Amino acid sequence: MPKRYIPHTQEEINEMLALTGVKSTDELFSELPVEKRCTRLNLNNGLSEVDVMRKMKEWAQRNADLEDYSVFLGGGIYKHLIPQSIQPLVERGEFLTAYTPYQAEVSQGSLQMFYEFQTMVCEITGMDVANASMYDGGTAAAEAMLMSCHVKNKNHYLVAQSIHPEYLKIIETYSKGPSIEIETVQYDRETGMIDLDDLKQKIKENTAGFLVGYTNFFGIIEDIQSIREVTKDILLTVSCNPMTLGVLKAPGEYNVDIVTGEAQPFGGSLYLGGMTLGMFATKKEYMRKMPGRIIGKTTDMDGNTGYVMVLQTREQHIRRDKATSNICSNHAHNALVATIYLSLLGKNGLKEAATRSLKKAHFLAERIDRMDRFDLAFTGPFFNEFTVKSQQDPKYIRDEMLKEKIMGPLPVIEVTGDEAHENLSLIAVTEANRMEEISFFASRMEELL
Amino acid sequence: MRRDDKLIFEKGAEGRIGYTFPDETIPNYPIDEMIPMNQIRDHSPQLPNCSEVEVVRHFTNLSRLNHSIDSGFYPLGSCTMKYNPKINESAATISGLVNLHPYQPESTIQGALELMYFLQQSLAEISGMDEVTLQPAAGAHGELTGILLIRAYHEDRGDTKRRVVIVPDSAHGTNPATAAMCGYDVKQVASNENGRVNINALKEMLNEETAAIMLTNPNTLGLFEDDILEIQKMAHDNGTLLYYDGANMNAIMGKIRPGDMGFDVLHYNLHKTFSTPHGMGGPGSGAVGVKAKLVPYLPVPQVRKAEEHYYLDYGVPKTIGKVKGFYGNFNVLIRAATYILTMGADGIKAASEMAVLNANYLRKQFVERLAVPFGNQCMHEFVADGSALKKYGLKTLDFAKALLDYGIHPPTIYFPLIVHEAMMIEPTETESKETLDQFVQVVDKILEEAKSNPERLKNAPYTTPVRRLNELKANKDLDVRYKK
Repeated sequence: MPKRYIPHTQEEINEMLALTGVKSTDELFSELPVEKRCTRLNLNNGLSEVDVMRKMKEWAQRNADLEDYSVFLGGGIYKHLIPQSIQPLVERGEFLTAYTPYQAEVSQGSLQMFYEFQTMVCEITGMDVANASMYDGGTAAAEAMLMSCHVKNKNHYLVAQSIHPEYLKIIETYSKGPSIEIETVQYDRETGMIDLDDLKQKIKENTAGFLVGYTNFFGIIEDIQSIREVTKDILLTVSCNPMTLGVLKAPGEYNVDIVTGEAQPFGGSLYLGGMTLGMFATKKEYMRKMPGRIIGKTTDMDGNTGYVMVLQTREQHIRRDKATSNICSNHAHNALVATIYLSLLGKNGLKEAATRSLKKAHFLAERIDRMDRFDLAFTGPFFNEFTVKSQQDPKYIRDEMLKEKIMGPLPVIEVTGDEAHENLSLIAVTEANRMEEISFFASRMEELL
Repeated sequence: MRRDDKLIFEKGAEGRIGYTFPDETIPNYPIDEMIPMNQIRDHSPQLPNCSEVEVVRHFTNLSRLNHSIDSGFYPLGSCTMKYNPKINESAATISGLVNLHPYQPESTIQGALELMYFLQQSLAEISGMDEVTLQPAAGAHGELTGILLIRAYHEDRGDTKRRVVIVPDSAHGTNPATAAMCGYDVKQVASNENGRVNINALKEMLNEETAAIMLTNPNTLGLFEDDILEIQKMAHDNGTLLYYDGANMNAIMGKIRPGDMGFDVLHYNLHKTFSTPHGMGGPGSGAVGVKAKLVPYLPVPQVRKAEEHYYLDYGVPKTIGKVKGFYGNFNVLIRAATYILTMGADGIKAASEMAVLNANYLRKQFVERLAVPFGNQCMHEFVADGSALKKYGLKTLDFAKALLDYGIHPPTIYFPLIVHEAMMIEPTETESKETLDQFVQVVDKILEEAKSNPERLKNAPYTTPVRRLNELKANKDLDVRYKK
């Protein structure tokens, strides 16, 4: 057994058994039904440190490490520049190995950081209040759906067909429990933007709300103002890529009710889409209906400033079956990453990263649009991701690019499963793509046979 | 040293930045030619303006205000605050595991898929289940997945009357919250005088409307539900499925398997049992294991193996859909796989044995000093009752706060709800006998002080970065964000 994690010597075990008043550790398990007890587990034998690392590196070597690729693959997870100073800070054991801040006196580091994170989310989204994180953009959207139905006490909910297809699937899964009817709203095939007539038509007596992507899955910037005008009587949720809000108008300025989003672009590594950060912000009037942890400022008995968890009576450990959500663990450590990222970049840096991504994407889109065999699929405005229609099979394009150590574009049909998308490719560009990479990508596209 | 309590927003100066972008010539398109004028942000979010060193100092100093496993004993019941090995972090920063996009072709992530497959298989073996999904992000998220699987199973059989989930009164709050979120009515079954589920009461509650029973075994009192085989028979005879809350898996690994006890579905907390860091509250992983009858409903995709390659299988016939984007918290999965490779079959079993020994060793000493209401021994944790402090005018809360002055994180307090002045203590296997002995010495000092100077304890702690905080004020004058 790995002694380095289990410190007991045989002598200590004997002393402890003696004090406990049993003869062997087996006696401590005497209540387990004899006929069901385990024989030896069919697992590997424990490995030494070097052998564990060798095994992990073997697995790593059987992947295409995107550190060595030009990445034009997006679809909800993006490769942005990550400041070097983040990793050493977030690896500190005081952050990494602390639990949920139930004992506030010895958790002020976590609590103050969450308060700063909540402030940043409010600033970026233009909303009044934010929680201390959700699992990811998809589950945050699903929680917004549940909260909208709860606030309105209605059970019909509208979702843009152009939202990230995985988000839609998650929303559908979450809708099953409370029997909420999910209906999708079409996008205009020309512009890629929400079909406002379809939206208007689908709002019924029992409709609680509508959720739209900003940008949507195709990279298109939706006209939130017009959407708000036709959704006056229902709750409007905007699911955003918060990086774009360095340049785009904050959803709060359109008086939306809830803003959710995937904040992986704020310093998060790719990790196969497994280092996500759900954002959730709303208006002050709905704060008590909001899921998740919320941190508030207060003072201690000496009058010094401190932070604690507030409105815990919404949460599962107090409210049990009447809680606003069952969420307990959140994505706290990923929120730390985002908070440090935003502290380093600051308002100028965020704007810079967003602007660079925007300009580079438009530069590439313009070049591709000029090519005979490619056209932009939609006329609506886009940010740093755009959809291209081609004569060739998008999978062929992707595979050809892979030969040049270029990862992407994404064949849209692989994610949407919609036959109508069989000629569409989604291309993401960020500030991390150097200009020479972008030019090379464009020239390879041009040379495709 | 005085605590620097300035927020990051109150530091730095306009014009400062903590990062340098590459120097390159980017086409200078006017923004309003790319984005409609009325959709351009006209005032920037108020974010910090700090140099790198200011940011590094700010967060380093914040970190020093936290108690953590790396800095001291953390016997927080039900949370399994075992040591989080450093090699897990090394593995989770290998570039070929970090820099992978979820939509890369399968042929370019064979190693990552094999790692996930290894973890699925290992977790299935440890729990005695037929398949495992790694998609859920946390324990509560695993519960949501598991209960939706049960719902799908009943509905698929046309068994639509089942709208009740039974949970014990000692259950974690997430159990009833999850059942409610999945559209079920929640009924609570009482514990008996031995701290176990009252099976007569359970028998009476079971009927054609009961979809599932959610149990934690050992339960939150740290007691093994010794009627489990009878409970499983009662449940299954009634067409009810049995859900296992895996929060307490650290008690039984390699000793008995939930699948063999008759459970149909369970969730793991990889951040508890499999040593991945809690990270101030997440991310965790709530992997879910199921028996064969629930496999057709698993979320998509499942990682599966065909001949010599691995693939993401979206062809699960009656899938409940997706519960999270992509494939789960891969950065947590890497660490859990590292832990299993390190521990192996014998190490995993030893972990549970020593976790149970440590708990019993402490339990015995708490019996002598305070009171432990149920049973003669415990599994990996136990619940002491602090009611004896009342005679000094003190509560469990005061005891907990006093521990902070000795650098010890308090136990989980006031849970489970069925013990009045509950303190739930889970030492875990990674703590040495000296640490446990020191803990007992501290307990003695506090109990001594409770007698001699109770007033002082009412105001503990004294040495922490802040002292007791005014929660009433925090909830009344809600201030949840900084404003200039």
